[in-house]
Amino acid sequence: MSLTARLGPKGTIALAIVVLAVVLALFAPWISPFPDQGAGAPNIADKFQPPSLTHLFGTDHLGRDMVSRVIYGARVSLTSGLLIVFVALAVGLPVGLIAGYAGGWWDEGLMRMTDVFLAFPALLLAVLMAAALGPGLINAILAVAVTWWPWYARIARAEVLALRGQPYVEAARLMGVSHPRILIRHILPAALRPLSVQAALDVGPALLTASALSFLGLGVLPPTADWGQMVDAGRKFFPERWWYSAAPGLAVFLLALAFSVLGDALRDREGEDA
Amino acid sequence: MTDVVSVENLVIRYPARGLFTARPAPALRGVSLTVSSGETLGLVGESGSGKSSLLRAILGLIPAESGAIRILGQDWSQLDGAALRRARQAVGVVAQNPFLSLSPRLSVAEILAEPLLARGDAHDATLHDRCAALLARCGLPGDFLPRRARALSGGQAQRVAIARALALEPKLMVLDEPTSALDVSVQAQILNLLADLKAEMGLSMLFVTHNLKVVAHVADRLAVMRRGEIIETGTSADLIEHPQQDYTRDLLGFGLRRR
Amino acid sequence: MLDIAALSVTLPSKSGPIHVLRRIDLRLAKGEIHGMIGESGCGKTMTALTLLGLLPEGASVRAERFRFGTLDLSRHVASDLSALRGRRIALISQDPAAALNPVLTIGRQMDDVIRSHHGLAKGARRSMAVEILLATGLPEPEKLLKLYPHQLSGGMQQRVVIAQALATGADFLIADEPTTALDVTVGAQVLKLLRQLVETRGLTVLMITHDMDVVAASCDRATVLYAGISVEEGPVGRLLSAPRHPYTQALLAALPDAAPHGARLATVEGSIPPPTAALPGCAFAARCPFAMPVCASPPPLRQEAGHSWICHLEPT
Repeated sequence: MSLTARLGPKGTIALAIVVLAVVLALFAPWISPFPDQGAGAPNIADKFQPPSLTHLFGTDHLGRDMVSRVIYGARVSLTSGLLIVFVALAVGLPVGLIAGYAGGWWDEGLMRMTDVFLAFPALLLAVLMAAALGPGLINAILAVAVTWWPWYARIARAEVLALRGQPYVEAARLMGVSHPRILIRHILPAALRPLSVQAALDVGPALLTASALSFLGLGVLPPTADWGQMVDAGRKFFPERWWYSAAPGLAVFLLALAFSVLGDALRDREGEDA
Repeated sequence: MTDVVSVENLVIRYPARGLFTARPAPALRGVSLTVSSGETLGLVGESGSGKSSLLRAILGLIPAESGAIRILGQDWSQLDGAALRRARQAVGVVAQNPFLSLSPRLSVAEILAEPLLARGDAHDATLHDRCAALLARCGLPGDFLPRRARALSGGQAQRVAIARALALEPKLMVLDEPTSALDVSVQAQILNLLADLKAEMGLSMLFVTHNLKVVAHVADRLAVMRRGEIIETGTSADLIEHPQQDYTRDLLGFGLRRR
Repeated sequence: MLDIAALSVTLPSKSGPIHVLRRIDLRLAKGEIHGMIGESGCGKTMTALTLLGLLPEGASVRAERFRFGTLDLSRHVASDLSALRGRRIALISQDPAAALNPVLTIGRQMDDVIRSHHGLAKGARRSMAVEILLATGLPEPEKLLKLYPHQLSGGMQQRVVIAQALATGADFLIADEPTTALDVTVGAQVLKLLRQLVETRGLTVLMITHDMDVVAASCDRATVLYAGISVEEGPVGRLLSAPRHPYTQALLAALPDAAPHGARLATVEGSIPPPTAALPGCAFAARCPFAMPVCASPPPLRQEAGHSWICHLEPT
């Protein structure tokens, strides 16, 4: 079955949107209608133009084309979303693996530590971390990743517990295969399957959270602009110059939705494959 | 002739569940048996007989309350991590259901290579050939190497499991109901294969099953278990011609009577 | 009691028809325990499902003759059988624990069955339950009514399943591998029970199994199945001592106690033809040690004193 057939119509559209976003982000200078404006160069003469044929989503307070700005903003937002999920996986997966496989005090210790992080409401914790770390893109990513990794640790641990009892794992033990080898050969690949589905589903919300932080002024600092920051900047001019906030807002919404639908489609596909 | 397996007065009791329940009766009450070099011992028992507990204890998967087990001269409970793993590599284990004991994700080649790599063999050009040789010895052609376990029939999958168990040239093979999940005609093929391998490689085997007729055919000596004890042992020929215990007679007498 | 001739069941699929049953002939006299023996993929379970009217959607069923008692089922096989299921035909399967509801007491489960088949008052239902449980050899049935399935051993659970079957008032029992999940000694007792019930209550039993020992221990007659075809049928004594069809011979020769200790067991090369294959001639020809060119055409029926089989080989 081809990929598009396996994902279904909704999943394929979602995948197309995600791919589109990645392409836009990668090739921003060549795709945006006004690349220098997208990158930040002002064009005061055209400030606050409403949407027109030249500027599909109008211009901002410095006359910069909104479409180009949104495209350039994709770079930052997408990177944030992906990096957050990646860092969270990099921390959560090993923690869950060790806790599930070793059991005993390792399990207790690691899981209680995980519980501490889970005890805080996610957004609040992210805001606190961001405030503590200071503004900036990397700090924002770290702040959100900190709230994200415990979930992956839990999922990984649950998978490991189920796999540990499998007869073929016991067979490997009986053959004298060492624990690290069992973990890498048998447990990790199997644990990675549901986790990868979860991670794909999470890029959207991670992106949203990072945007939320920027919206609150705790994320990226101007001139770096991610979509959240742009929505925040456009607030002052709302609702008369609605296009300022609407353009990046719409972009966030569409991409987060696309990731969510894609994740669902991946999860359905997992079911058949296994 | 040294004993490949020696069990002395083994007592196994599972821990009580719950705070106020009485200590459960032992699953094994002082069982002793030996497997000599080059011999096949058939261990027969139904559910509750304790044969599974005995098997798990011999394989070092559960601790014993008292008694001694020595495999190839070593007491596994005294060995630490790396030494225990090396000791395990000298024993080949074949379980009942190959679709459970073979990883569903790996190819046959990877499944066969696993014990070799675990021993520390290099992942080199000869590895592929060695896996093919293992398969050939168990009656399967080399084009099975890239397949997954679920693409195989029950008999083929069990041959792969046997090939895997032989990978490290073990002195002892432990087989737990290896043909119980197979059709009669496939069972015959596997039993023939085991007989061939035993002759070729001089293996000692511990064959655990509930089916006395199957094991009587392959084993040199038999031990019949019931309720945690061995109630009768002897050479296969003796036991079949002159069973001493009623229970043994019942097991033999069910169904077709040939002899 | 049951007379089936040339039953065939085909399931449609994207890659062509699947012949799950190609040609099943089955004849059971009332009060007989009839074994249906074959290896995996031979069609035993499919035959049982056909008899119970539980085939999947789209299955096409054809038969030259399909009589159950006085009923002629050859035209509306599926719907008529659904009516018989649970009323005159009952099923006992391999895993008794799975057949019983773990959260209901035995008494409650017996009561449910009795209530849906007999219009009796509560007290009368209870006595009926006790009487039936006693008939299946279960000790102290009154106490048993209050127990849950997990409190019983496998053998006792299977007896309860048999009791439920009896409670439906069915006179035809399909027993699908009823002893496979039980110990040999326990299974032997269950088979003895079935024999007893056949004699005291006039039941007829179709015993589906892969195990020759079970057939030898419990059946009067048996039918051997291969690739969805009945290849041989006859009284068990003759079938086991003088099998006529090469497949039956091979099956018996492959049993461990057929060969002297330590000798090689006879095996058959090849494997069962897949259900998608067309098989114009004899289904076993590809693996038969006596195959001849004429085996490319459908084999004729041979008969000999109540023992019948299909084969091109002339009986000697």
